[in-house]
Amino acid sequence: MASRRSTPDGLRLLLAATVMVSLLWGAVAAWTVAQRTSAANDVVASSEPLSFDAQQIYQSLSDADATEAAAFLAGTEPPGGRSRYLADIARATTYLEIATAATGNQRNRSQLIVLSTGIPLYTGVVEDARADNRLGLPVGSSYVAEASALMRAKLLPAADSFYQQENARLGAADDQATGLPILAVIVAAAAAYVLIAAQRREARRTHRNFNHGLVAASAAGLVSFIWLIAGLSLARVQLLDARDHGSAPVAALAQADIAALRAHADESLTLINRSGDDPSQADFLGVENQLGPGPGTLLSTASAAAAGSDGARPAAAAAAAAPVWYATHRQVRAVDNSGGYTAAVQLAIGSGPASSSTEFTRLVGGLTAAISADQAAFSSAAHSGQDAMTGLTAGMIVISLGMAAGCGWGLSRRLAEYR
Amino acid sequence: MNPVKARMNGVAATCLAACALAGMVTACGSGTGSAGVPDGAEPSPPGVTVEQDATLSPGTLGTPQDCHPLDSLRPSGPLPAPGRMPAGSAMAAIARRGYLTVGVDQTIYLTSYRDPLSGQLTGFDVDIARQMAKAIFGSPDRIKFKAITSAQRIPVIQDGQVDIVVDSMTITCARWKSVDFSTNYFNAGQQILVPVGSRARDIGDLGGQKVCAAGGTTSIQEIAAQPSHPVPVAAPNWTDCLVMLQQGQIAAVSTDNSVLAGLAAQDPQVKLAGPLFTAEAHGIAISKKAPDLVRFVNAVLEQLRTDGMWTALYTKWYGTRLGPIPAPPAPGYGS
Repeated sequence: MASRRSTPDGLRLLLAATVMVSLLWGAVAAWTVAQRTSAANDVVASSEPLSFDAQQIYQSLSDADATEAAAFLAGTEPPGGRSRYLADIARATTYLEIATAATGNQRNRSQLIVLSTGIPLYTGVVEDARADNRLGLPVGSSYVAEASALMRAKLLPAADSFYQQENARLGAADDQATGLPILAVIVAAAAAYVLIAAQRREARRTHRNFNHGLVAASAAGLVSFIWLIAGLSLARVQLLDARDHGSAPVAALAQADIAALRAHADESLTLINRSGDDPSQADFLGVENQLGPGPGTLLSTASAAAAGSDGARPAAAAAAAAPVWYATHRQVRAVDNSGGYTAAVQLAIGSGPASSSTEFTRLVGGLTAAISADQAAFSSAAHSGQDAMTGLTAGMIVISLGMAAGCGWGLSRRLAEYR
Repeated sequence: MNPVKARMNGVAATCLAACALAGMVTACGSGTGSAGVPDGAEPSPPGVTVEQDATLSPGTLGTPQDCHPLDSLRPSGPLPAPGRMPAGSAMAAIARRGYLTVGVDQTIYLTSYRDPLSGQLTGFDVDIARQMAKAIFGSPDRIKFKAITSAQRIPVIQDGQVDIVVDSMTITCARWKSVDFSTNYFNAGQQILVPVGSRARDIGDLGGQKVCAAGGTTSIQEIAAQPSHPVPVAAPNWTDCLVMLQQGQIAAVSTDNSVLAGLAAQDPQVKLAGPLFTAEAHGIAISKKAPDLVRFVNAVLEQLRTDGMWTALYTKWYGTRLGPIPAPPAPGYGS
């Protein structure tokens, strides 16, 4: 090895390499943490709430549609029905306002415009229907049909598309917050290689066992690596828990909830149409097939997603309530089809324990309870995930500066021996 | 009409036509202007179509020389007492079932409608149907109504879903090919219904403008056949036409004056206009497989004409809305 550089030049090169690799590690580790923190913040503070807002808009508009149909069926407006409809519209417009502010008018603009211009139109048509009904004028039924068509053809699809986009963003942010930190691991390996190689060279050249500066830098690097991996892993576990026992079951439960509301509106519309088994009844049966429970249905998917979460019990109760409701619905159809229209309406919208509306309320009540339990579970786990990364960025920067200082100090002392 | 409203109507009309062409009316409604601002126009009721080429199939309107649509089947002797229907007759089968099934509209105010407050079907046609149940059972309540749209009137008879259809149904030779009719129980005629401020005096003033009627009716065919060439708009129900008239999506509604009177009674801002330009005799539709039921129904109608019940029901529902109270229409019999 006669052709090698002079020892001081080699030492200078080594000094530069170790300092740079320490700083590079600090920069990459800090950047990794910043990325994760930002993605986790996006999940917790932006995409999950927006996805939830979108669900709430869809859910309250569906409920308004179903409530309005049932109120019309009842003839004289039930007081509870009116306040429920008004609360639905208030909820939908509140979440729409929150969502519009949160998206900063950048994304989902067209859907949000459809919703914010369509909801007043919808409520206007509903009020026309209400005024006609109060006067005993049958033209009210055509306004109810027009309002329901507007809801189903324009507003609900816009709310659904808004929800799908936000849900896709949530998935992407989740992936970013929980993926493997490959770059950090590669740089850590490179830094470890450089530091170890430097120490072996020094050990060979000087016949001293340790360069204290390099040893201290290596130890600090090891500590920072373990801290980084532990912090990120803990955050990952919490965020995955938030997804698997929080946002994922909430999304599945919300799908089931929305399908149930649609079927409930169908039941009323069939009775309003008064034509026996009509297209709305066909729609009910289609939704019933999607809703389940049964393999691959929305309720089964929701129950499976909610298994092990706080919402598991109410979700299971909802799945058990669904077949009971379907049975009563069939009874409503049978009574109506054999001439007992008034009895069928009573069975559908009555407040008795075995009425279709009571059983529907049990189904949706279970789903709503499961959604709010899992939403709370999401929130708590996701915040723990964020907390696991607290101080990591600053820690990485401080430690890497310490590592660079250690390398500099250890190798400068060796250089000094040549002066 | 103020200019803003007029402009909105124009946009709604364009949208309606465009969407109907695309075959997706329910997806229609408020479109988006050039600046990305929606027009905010109301959507059409579901199932509304603009009949771009509502051409008439031959023989659907007008009366061929060899056809006498108002000649029904003569009653076979006096009415049997309620509860004592002749063995083996269609009426006996209905009595065994326990109720009469009747197809009626539920959207024609005064004639046949669902009272929003009670939820019950009521009106002139409904009362006529109840008289049939009363003649079979002795009780007008042994009856099951099936609400139908105008387009469903013939299919529900042919499928046997109902025993009779009492639904402002004009007796025509074309329809006689599919169903039997009772004798004429109501004389109506087609007229137009327009906003109070409209300058249209009759159907001749509505060329190129949208005129609504229920699909599957003689009214929509008459609109299409007018020499002034109005644009026929078909809706599932008559009240859908009134909704569109109130929202300025169409210029007029045109059908039987009895139906229009029911629409006018729901809105003081609309009026009947012009002369009756057709004569429509309403009959009860019955399956061609039950001539005994046709004869029975005609016997009940005879009784209603003579015992004053017809006049009482007419007065109860229409009063003088259609002019002076008329005498019951005279029956015609062929065999």
